[in-house]
Amino acid sequence: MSNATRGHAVVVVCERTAPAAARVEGWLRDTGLNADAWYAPRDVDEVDRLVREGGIQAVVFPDAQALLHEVWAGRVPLAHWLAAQTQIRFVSGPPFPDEHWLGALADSQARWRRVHRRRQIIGGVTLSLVALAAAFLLSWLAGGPTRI
Amino acid sequence: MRAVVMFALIPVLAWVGQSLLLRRAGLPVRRRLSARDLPGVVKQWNRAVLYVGVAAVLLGYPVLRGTTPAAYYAQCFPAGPPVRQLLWGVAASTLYLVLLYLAWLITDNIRLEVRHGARRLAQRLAGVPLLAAGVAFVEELLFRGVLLRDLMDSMPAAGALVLASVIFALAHYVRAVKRYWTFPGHLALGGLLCVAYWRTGALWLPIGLHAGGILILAGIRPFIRYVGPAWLVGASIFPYAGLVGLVALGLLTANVWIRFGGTP
Repeated sequence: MSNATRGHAVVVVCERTAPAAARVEGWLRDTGLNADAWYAPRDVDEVDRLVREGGIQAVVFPDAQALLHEVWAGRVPLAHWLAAQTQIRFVSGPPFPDEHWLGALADSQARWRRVHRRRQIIGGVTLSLVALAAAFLLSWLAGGPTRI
Repeated sequence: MRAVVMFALIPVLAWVGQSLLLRRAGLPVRRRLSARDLPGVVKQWNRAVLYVGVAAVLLGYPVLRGTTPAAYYAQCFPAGPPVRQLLWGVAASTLYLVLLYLAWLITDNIRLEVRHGARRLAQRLAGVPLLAAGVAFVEELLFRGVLLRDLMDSMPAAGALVLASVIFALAHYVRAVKRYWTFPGHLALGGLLCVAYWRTGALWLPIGLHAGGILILAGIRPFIRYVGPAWLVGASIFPYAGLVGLVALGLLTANVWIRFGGTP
């Protein structure tokens, strides 16, 4: 992770050593943007935290696939990013989608996340109870005070 | 209650040490113990001061009681069959944690995701057994071998168990930390380990439970990411701080209570 702290205006989500890094640097030079910090994709959680705190003006991704990969992995909640008025910029690939289209995608993701969260809770509670019952019984049966 | 006073002096010593080190480094003194944004060398010396404080309590307390450390701690480690309690403890913590992680993996509350490169991962994993054994051994000597034993000498067992659990939990928050909502988890963990000592009169079982827990938590941490609600499954190395984790600690405490025979 970079040495980022709060209050960054522009951050890049790209591995510094990745082949795309040179492309991103070239694009930053061409557009006159200064990246305040670079984050590896595995640290995008930290970018999300900064976005929610309102400390990020723009997040630059090498391409749309890089953003969508994080969206599907559940690490980038698009609706929150749009609500924070954070700009999302792509260095290459298909042109940046129309704002309405991106809004629709964010709404859809937010709906999916709500449904998924319900499933996580119901499934998590149910299977956790089964796991706990199994662990309790096995620990109860495995060796007693007289044998240990 | 001598142990409580000695325990209270550890953070005071650590704070004085931190303040002196910060001054020497030309940095402002902090009101709280905090490692955040400190230069590496200050962090290392801070740690060294803390270790000196812990060692002073571990060695000084038996002397205050008029005995030698070796003779005092030997009573906490009876030889023979009780040694098997260590293995039972490791197995029980492992069983609970592994089954819970499996349940959470199936229900997408955690995801498999390697968090480091191969070299760093190997380094971290290689250190896990030593970390588990070392942390469990030192913390159990300190919190159960010194603190709980001292409290049990001066008050009824129930009061001693509660107070020792509270101090154990508070000790994890003396330094500024990222998460404070994990406090009930530390409290329940303290309760489990105190009950384990109380029921067996030895440190074998608490060390086994503690070491087994750290072994699994630290061993699995580099491979998973929490995606479920923190109130349900916890976060980071604190799965025991979520609702399910608290229930698990309660059940494991019941296991210990049932299986081990009471005060010696």
